[in-house]
Amino acid sequence: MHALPDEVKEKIGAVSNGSEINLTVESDLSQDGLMGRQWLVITKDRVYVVIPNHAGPVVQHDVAIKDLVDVKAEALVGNGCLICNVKGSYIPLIRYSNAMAKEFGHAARRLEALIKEEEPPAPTDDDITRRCAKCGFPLETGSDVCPNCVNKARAIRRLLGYVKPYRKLTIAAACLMIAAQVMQLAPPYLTKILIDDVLGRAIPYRGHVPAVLKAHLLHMLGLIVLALIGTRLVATVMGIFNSRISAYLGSKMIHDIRMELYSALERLTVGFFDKRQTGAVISRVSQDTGALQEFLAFDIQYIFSNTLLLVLVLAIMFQQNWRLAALTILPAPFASLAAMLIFTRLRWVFRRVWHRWSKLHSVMSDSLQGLRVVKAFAQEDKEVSRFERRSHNLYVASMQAEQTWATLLPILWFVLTAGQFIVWYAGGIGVVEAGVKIGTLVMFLGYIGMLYGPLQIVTRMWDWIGRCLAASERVFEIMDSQREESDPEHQVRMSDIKGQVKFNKATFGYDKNHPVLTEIDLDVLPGEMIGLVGHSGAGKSTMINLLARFYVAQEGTLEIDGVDVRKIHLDDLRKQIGIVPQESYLFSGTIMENIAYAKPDATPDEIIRAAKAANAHDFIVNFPDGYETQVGERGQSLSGGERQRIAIARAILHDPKILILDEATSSVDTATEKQIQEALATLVKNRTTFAIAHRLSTLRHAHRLLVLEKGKQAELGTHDELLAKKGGTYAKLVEMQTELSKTVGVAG
Amino acid sequence: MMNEDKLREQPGEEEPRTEQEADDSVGVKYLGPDDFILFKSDGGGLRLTLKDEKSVLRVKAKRSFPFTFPTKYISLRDGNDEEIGLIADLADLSKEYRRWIEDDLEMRYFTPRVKSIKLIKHRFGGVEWHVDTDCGPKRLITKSVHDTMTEVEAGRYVITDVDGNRYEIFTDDLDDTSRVKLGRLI
Repeated sequence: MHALPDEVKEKIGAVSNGSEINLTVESDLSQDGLMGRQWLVITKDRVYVVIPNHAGPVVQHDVAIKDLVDVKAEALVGNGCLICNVKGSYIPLIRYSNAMAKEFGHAARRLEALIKEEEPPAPTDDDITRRCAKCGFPLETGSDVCPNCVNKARAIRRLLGYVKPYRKLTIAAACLMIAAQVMQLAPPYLTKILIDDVLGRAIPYRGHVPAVLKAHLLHMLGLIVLALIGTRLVATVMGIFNSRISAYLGSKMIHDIRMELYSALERLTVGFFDKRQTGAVISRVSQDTGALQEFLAFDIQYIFSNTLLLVLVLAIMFQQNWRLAALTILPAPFASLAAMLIFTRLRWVFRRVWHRWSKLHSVMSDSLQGLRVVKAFAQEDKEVSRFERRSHNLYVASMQAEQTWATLLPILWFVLTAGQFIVWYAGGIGVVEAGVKIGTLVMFLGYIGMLYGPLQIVTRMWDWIGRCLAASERVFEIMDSQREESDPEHQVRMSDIKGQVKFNKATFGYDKNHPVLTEIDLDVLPGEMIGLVGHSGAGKSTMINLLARFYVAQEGTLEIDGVDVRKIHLDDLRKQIGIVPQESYLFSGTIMENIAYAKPDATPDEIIRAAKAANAHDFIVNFPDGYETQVGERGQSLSGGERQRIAIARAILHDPKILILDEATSSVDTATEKQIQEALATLVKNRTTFAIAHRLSTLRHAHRLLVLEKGKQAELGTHDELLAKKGGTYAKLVEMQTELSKTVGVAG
Repeated sequence: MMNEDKLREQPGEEEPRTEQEADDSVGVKYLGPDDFILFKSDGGGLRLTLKDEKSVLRVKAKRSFPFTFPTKYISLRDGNDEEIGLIADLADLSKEYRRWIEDDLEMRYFTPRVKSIKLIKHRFGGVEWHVDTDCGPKRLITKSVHDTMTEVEAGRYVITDVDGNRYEIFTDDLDDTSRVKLGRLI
C-alpha cells in the first residue's frame, strides 16, 4: 500500500464522505501515457482514480464496486492497464508501467474479491516488487541481496572463505613470494656497491692498480657477481615454487567453487531454468569460475606482491636520497591518473568488441545449425550477407580497439617512464655538483625500472577486482537461488504411495497475475487413468508440472494420498512418479545405462524385461552392439519411436506409482504408435496415470477424461459420457479429428 | 518491403474460389471502412458492431508488424482475443475511428522513444541509463547490453529494462554526445 499525498487524501475524503481507504496504489504513468503519477484508491464500496492537476488533484474515475462486473490487470506491451467491466461497458481505469505490474495485479485480485463479496486476499511477498533501497533494482523473491549494490567487501570476504581450508599453503606461497620480491631488491644495490666501491676505486689508477688493491678489488668483484647470480637464482627457484603452489591452490579452490555451484544448479527449481537460457547458465559454470580462478590464483598475489614491491622500492629510494626519490616519483600521480582513464577507455572499447563477437557468433551458430533449411530455401547468399554485416561491424570495433590500444599504451608508457629522465638530469647534476656517487645514480635507475610494473598493476587492480566481483556475483547468485526443497527435515516421508491424487481448487500461473490453471478440482483413485484433453495452451502440461512438483499451486492444494504435495519429501515423491515426456531425452552412454537410469543396480534380466514390455527388446537386439549400443549425445542415432520406447522402458523399470505420459506418441508414425500403445498398456496397469494426447483415440483406455479450456475445467467424465454431450467441447474435438482423419485418408 | 496488395485477399476474378476454400480458418478477413461501426464509451473502452453480423462489447487493437507497419495490418480482436478482422491500413478509416484505434494502440504498445542519453553507467550486474524520452525523463536499469538490446533494423534498437518496460532508440534521433555514448556500448 502506497502512502497518498495529503491533498489526494483530502480529495478522496471529500468525495467519499470520509470512507475508510482500503488500498492505494500509485502508478508511475500519467493518464496521457507520459512518465508521471496517478493514484488508484479503493474504499469499501468505491474505486477512484485520482490524477494530479495544477489546481489540485482531480478524480478521473469514480466507480461503485457494486456496478463492477469484473476487473482485470491486463498485461500490455511495456505497460499494463487495469481494465474493468462496469455494467457491460469496458473502461481502462488506470495505466502503469511494468514496474508496477505486481502491485496492480494484487489490486485487481482484491477488487475481484470485493465484487464476489469474498474475503480480500492479504498481500504476500509476491504482490510487491521489492526493490533495492539504494538503486531501485528489483529484488528476487526470497532474496534481499541487490545484485547491483552487493556489498563488495562481503563478496570478497565470502570469496576468501574458499582460501581458508588452504591457509597454511597460502601463507607459505605468500612467504615465498615476499622473499622473492625482497631478493629482487638486491641487484640494484649490489650494482651500486660494484660501481662505487669496486670499479670506481680502480678508475683513478687508469689501468695501473697497485697489486694489493687489485687483489682485493678482484676478490670483491667475484663476490658481488656471485651474489648477483645467487640472488637471481634463489629468486627464480622461489618463484617456481610459488607458482607451483599457486597453480595448485587456484585450481583446487576453483574446483571447490565449481562443485558447489554445480550441485546447487542440480537442486534448483525448474522455474530457474525456464527463465534462463541454458547457454548462459553453462557459461557461468565455465567462464565465471575461470575468472575467479585467475583472481584467486594469480591476481591476488600480483596485487599483493606488487604493492609490497612498490612500498619497499620507495622506502629504499627515499632512504638513499630523498630529494632524488621525490623527483623520481613526481610523474607517478599523473601516470596513475592517465592509466586509470586509459584503462577505462580500453575497457569500453574491448567490451564493445566482445559484444560484437557474440553477435557474430550467434549469426554463425544460427545459420550453421539450420543449414538444411538455409539450403532448402536457397538462402546461402542472404546468410552470407548477414554474416558480412556483423563481421564488418566486428572489424570496425576491433580495429578501433586495437588502434586505441596501440595509441594510448605507448603514451601511458611514456608518461610512466618520464621519471627516468628526471633521474638522469637531476641525478647528473647531483653527480657533477653535489658529489652524488655514480653508483647511487645507477642504483636509482635500476629501482625506477622496478617501479613501472607495480604502478601499472596497482592502477589496473580495481579493474581486476571489479571483474572478479562481477563473476563472483553471478556465481553466488546461483548458489543462493531458491532450492527446490527448502526445509527437508519437516517433510513427510512416504516410501509407499498408493496413488490417490486430489486437486483442490488448484490455481497456478507462471506469472501470478496470469493464471494458467484456475480452480482445478479433481479426485483420482489409485490405479485410475485420467486423460487430459484440450487445445494447446489449455494448461495440460502445467497440470503435469504441478503433479511432478516442478512448480507448486499458488492457491488451493494438490494432495497425494491425502498429504499436501508440498509436505512430501521430494526424494520419495519423485521416486514414485514416472514421466514419459514428449521428447525423450537420452543421455550419452549405452542403451542399457539409459534404461537403468533411475535404477542403476538393475540386473540384466530386469532390463530385458522392461525393454520387452516396452516393445523395445527386438530392435535393441538387432543393433550390432545390442544393449551396449552407444546412443551418443542426445541419442541422435535412434529414431523418434525407438527413443520413445527406450524412455518407456526406463519408466517401466523405475516402477512408479504415478505415471505421467506427456504426448508420448506424438512424434511417431501410426505403425510405431501401435507398438508404443501396446507398450504403454503394460505400463499403465495398476498405476495412477495422467496422459496427454493430441490423438484422442490414444485415450480410449482412460477411465475418465478431463477437458481443459483456457486453464479451466470444462468437462469431466468417461469417453462415452462426454461424447453423448451434444455441443460439448470433447464431442466437438472428436468430431474435428474424425473429419481430419477422413481428409487425410482421402488426400493420402 | 512486402507487397501489400499480395497480402490482401483478393477474391474473385483471377482465381475463382469455391465456397469451401474461402473457409474462415484459412481466409484473412479484412475490414473495410464500411464493414463496421465503432463506438467509444465514456470511460474510453471501444465497442464495435460488424455490419449485418454481431456486436462486440470489448475491442482490442493489435499490431501485426509493430515495428515495420505500426498503422497497417491492425488486428481487431474481441474480449476473448479472437480476431474480428484485419484493417489493412488505418489511413483508410475516418479520422475519428483512426484516432480511437491509434489511442488504443498507443496504450497497448507503450514504448517511449529515447531522445537523448544523459548517462550510461556500468554497474555491478547491470547498466544504468539516464535518458530523456518523448514521454519524459527516465532512469532505467537493464541487465547487460547483450541481453537487453535488440537491433530491430539498422540504427533502431529496442531496449528492455529489468521490469520488462520497453524503450526505443533511433540513432538518427540522438544528438552527437548521446550517439557517442551509445556507440561505446554497442
